[in-house]
Amino acid sequence: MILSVTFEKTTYAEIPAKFEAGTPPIVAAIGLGEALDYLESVGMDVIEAHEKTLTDYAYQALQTVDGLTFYGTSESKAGVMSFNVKGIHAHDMGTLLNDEGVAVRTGHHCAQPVMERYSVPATTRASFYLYNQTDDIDVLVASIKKVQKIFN
Amino acid sequence: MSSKQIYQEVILDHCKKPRNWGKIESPTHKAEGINPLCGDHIWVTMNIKDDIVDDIQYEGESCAICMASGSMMTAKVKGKPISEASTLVENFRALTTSPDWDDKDKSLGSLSIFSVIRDLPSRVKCAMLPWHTLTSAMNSEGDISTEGEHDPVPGSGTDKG
Repeated sequence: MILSVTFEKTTYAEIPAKFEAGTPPIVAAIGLGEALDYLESVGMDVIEAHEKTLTDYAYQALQTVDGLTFYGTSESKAGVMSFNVKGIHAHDMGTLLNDEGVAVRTGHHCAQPVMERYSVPATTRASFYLYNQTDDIDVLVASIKKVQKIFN
Repeated sequence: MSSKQIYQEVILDHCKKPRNWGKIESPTHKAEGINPLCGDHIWVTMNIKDDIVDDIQYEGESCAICMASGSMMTAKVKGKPISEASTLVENFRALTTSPDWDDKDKSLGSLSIFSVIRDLPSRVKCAMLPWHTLTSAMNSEGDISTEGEHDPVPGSGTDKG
């Protein structure tokens, strides 16, 4: 925002007002507030515990897949699992899991130095949250095994 | 046809037994192809004699779609005049990117299975990379990337940072 404008000279408002011209993101702010109210009504600790349960379940379930390698196995990790399955490029895995109705992220995840650290071109990444159930993980694991059958 | 079927019926055959796999020693034409977003990295080496693709080999590290596309490409263009190879590149691009394109004269033969890729925009670059690299080799343009001006589907990258 400005303090005053003439053809000769423009004087800007003090920071932060200088950078806050125009309509503020009112709708976004109200939306954020609603989202926080919702999360608090469920309980942040409940969400964290649910995510931890799913992550532990997935960690066990994915170990039944032959040739699966995890990338990132910290005890305190969030509900995000990166992995590759021997002989199957992550992008092929992603396309075929998509056919089974399973949405995963594939690629270098905007973290190319990490890919280089593990000497892989890409990984497949599944993530879990409040709206997932252990059933979803069963479908993920069964679908990976189906993809393996296609490749073998 | 679903993407699962294309994997089952054609792609895996070519991944397990890639045709014309390797690098020609002292080729007359060659190019390196890179898709930086997915890490595909391939080489096409050729011997062109009297404007005919006398020999062509393909090698690299890539996903199954890229590998099968390259394997089938070498089988298709080997022995063909370079003018015909250029037409095949354009036809393959149309096949994988234009919804209404029809291969009326059946020029692509079994490669027509790649029309499924139209419904998988993030995989078009995988299928196109060997063909871009072939064009590059024929023109001896040197290295090629599927990004920037060579992007077959601008804005379709799977890794946006």
